[in-house]
Amino acid sequence: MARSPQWHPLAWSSAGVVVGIVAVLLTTTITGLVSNPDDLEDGPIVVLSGRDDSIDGQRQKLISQWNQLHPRSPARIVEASPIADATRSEMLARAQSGRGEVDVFNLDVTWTAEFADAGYIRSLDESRVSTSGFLAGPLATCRYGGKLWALPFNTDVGLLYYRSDLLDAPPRTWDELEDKVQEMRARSGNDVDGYAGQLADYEGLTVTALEAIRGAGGSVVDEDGNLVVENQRAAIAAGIERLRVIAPAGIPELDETSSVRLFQSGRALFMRNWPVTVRSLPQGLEGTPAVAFGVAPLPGGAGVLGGQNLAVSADSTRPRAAQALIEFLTGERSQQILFERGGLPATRQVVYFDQAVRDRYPYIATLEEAISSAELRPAQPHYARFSDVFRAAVNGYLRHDAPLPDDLQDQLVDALKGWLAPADDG
Amino acid sequence: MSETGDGSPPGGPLPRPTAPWRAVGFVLAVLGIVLVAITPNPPETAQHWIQIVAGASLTAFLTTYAGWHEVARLRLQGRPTLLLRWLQRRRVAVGVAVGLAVALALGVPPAWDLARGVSMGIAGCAPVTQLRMVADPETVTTARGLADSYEQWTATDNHHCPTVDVYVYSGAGDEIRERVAKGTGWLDESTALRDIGPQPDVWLAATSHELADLPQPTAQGSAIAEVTPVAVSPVVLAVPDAVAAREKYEHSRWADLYRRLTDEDVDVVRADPDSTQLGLLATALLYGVPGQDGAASPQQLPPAEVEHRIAAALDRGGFPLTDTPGLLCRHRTLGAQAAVIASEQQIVRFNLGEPLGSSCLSGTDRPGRLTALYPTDTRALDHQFVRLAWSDPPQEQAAARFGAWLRSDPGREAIVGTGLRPVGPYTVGPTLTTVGIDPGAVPATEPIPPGQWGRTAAAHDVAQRRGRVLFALDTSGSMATEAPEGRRADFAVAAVLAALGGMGPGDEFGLWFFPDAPGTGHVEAVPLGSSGPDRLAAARQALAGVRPAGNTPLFRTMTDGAAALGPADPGRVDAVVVLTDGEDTSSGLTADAVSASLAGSGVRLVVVTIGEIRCSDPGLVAITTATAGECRDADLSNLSTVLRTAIAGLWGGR
Repeated sequence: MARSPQWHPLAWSSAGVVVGIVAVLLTTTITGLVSNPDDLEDGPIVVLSGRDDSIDGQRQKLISQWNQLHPRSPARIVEASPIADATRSEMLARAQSGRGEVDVFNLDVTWTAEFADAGYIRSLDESRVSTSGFLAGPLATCRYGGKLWALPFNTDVGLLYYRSDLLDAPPRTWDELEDKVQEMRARSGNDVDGYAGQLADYEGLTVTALEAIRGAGGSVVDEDGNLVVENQRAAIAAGIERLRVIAPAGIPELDETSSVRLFQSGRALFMRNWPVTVRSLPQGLEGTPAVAFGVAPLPGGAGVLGGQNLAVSADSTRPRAAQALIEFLTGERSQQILFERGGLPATRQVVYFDQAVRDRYPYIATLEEAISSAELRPAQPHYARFSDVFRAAVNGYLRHDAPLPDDLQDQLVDALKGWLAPADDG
Repeated sequence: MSETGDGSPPGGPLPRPTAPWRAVGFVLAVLGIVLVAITPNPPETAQHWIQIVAGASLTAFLTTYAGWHEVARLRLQGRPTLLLRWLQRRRVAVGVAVGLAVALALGVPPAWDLARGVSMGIAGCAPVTQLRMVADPETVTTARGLADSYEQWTATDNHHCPTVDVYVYSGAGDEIRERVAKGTGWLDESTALRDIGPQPDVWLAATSHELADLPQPTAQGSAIAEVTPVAVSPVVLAVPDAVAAREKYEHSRWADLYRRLTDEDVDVVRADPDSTQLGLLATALLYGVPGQDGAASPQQLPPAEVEHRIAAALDRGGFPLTDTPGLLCRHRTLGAQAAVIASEQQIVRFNLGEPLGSSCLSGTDRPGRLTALYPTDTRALDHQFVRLAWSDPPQEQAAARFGAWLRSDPGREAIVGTGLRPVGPYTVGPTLTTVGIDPGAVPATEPIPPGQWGRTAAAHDVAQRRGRVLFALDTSGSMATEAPEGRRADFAVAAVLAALGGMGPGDEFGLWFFPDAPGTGHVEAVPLGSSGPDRLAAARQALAGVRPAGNTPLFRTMTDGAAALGPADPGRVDAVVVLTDGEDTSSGLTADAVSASLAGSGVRLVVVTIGEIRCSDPGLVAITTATAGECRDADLSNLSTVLRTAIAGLWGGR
């Protein structure tokens, strides 16, 4: 009964294959099958976020609601600095630490691609998460590389605030806007001047400049995300030149708060700001009547989309609970509360269709129109560097009379790759 | 059934795989391992599952099939010499294998680097390590400059891709020390993250004295992992051209130089020692550090006289009572003729027209010039690179590399670029050869004796003139605004309470609220008087009862407050400290009228702003400059700190 030699290799190879399959199955599937996939993990879910800009701290109130509904998986918000760059730095450092102490990141829309590309956040399984019902623009900021990485928490878009006592109707085009500004300047004894956009050297300037460029019919990036600076140089230069003309005299270093102050004091004809300002403007300076204002989409639908997205950290030990929390915070009811009581624009369509909301907050129609035509900033991992280079060019043009660099396209291409150009003095 | 005792299976020796088959098997096994390694765990898609199962199976199969055969064939039976003979028989194959391995080891890294460069050129840079760095407001500009230089340097050898991204922010020195002393840093309290900033991995301290009371790196539970001196900047007495031209001041000690200059009616100003490291070091030098022979200089003035002369100089020149950049900024604005005690680096920045602190944010094209005098017994600010122990491995390694770079040649070159002198050999660049600077002057090497710091602070407390400060708190309607963090008025009340805690026994204070009921004046909550505990309790009670409403008669309150402080007394600091959030709406006065009436009154106007008004407002600039005061912008989260540091120079000693 000699065994044929040909069987031995087959026996060994079969043994090898079986061992391989069993080992893999043991390490991956069994643990998953044992626990119930619908069970949420216990323990505190930590949400790392920037400052809560909602009126009356609505975000914390939503978290408290969640805690009452899920007493075994309570959540808490760890609030970082009100300065966006500081919050981004802390989030990146914590993500890189690998310690898994943060479960959910509340990311600005421009950071989502960076975190996704670096593997700091988990992609969401679209077959398990319902994404119908979200507005298209905000949902698009949650996608990168063909996958869904986050759910939109609140959105934002630039709006045009105008003096309704001085203008019958908002300007329909940017040419009309510029004409109105020049007209107002020409009237003697008048200190109502200009377009109070965000002009200090930070992301606000990038946004304001991109909107002005769009208003001149140009764009820096096309729909596919390719840089088109070379083809659109004339329009880009025209847009920034118009911004220089309509900015208040001396091109002051305005941020969101000081823009509000300038407009509220009556010294600006127009203001560009986020929607949450609609609620805080009517307070007015004490003793003087609140400035009469109207709000409209930026002419030609030139607004840039902002907002925040909620993403699950890649090294979170409570991914199911974190995802459930994200779905709760971006659910229909939470979004309605965030808008009605908190003033933060909702990311769900149903909020904008609610007749009671439309009656109480008539500007929501304007808001919806602006969001649907809003432009997205490039969803790229190195967006921060792109913004720095772009802003340096804009700042140089606005404040130092430096023409746009000839190689601006190349500089931006390099910046999007994350390249750091050698510093040149001047 | 085989009777061979050599362990081989029955049926004769196993078929041996031929060489081509073995090579194929090797490649397939490597492929299997690579497939398993590159698959994300847990597998997410069907493709991942196929990869991981196929890869693991391949490797398992080949090792059991091929490897076992070879091991079985060896038939070593415990004789290692057989192994050597086995190798010798296959020496060609072994030689080729070793040669191939060496070639790969030498050739792959450059090829790998080239491949990485190409891939980074196409796909973009890899994600970089994030590093967080904190420095106090006087040092933060230097810190930013060094961080930028380091990022640039890491990008030069790495195909334009930096390997680190350093975020630099400024934090008050005493708050950082408090956190570091606690040892747990930012981990336990989330408010630190919001109020101070990100958890730092690196701290650029201005002097080694700042670290004096903190746990050593070797101590148990210490938050400090490593302390390295990286740069020094001597303390100098910077004089305007007219004085520098007069006569030679070389080889003088601080006491002699100071006495000679002040006797010749040259005003010498110095920053507040209670809130700045430079001020404290300068004060120690002025009061006299025992020389090498242990004897005090015969020219030494007593502390009381030193403080008296400095106070008079500050008043005469209209200088604010804050930090050195504030003094230099006022010097530049007014084109003053006083001498300033500063660090060499600050004089470099002044002479180059660079920005100076928060009041002179933009530089100037026509800078003034100060010439630095280096007394023989001067010391230096010794900047320390502090690496904190609570960082995680990626940040820890990145911080260690940054620290090592600062001690290397390119790092030292960057340090010279910021106007500091690096530790170690360096070449003097254009900054340190700025006119008015002498890079060859060497400060004294022996450190200030440890006890001297305490003695200096105590002597200063006794000698410093008392303060008479009227707090005017804005309680207009806009102070009821609910910001995301809370109500403005609540933060303002807390800040004023904290500020009152800094008073010394000889100081006096008063507390006003504006507006009053008619809306054009103020309410006297606590009249001017001593700083006793019962009056502090009255202040606390009054602050608790604040109900914001009405207009903002800002300018009227300023003038009324200055009038209430009474006639100027040079032996006392008189100041009105205003905490406001908006413009004047009901005074009926203009800013120019206020600055005209208050200029020269001897009352300093210190303004801290929150909300809609900023210190760049021309009216506030005019008023604070004309009254030798200061203006500081604040957010609600740092309001207490800003108010405390803005008025630290007003109080007398404890």
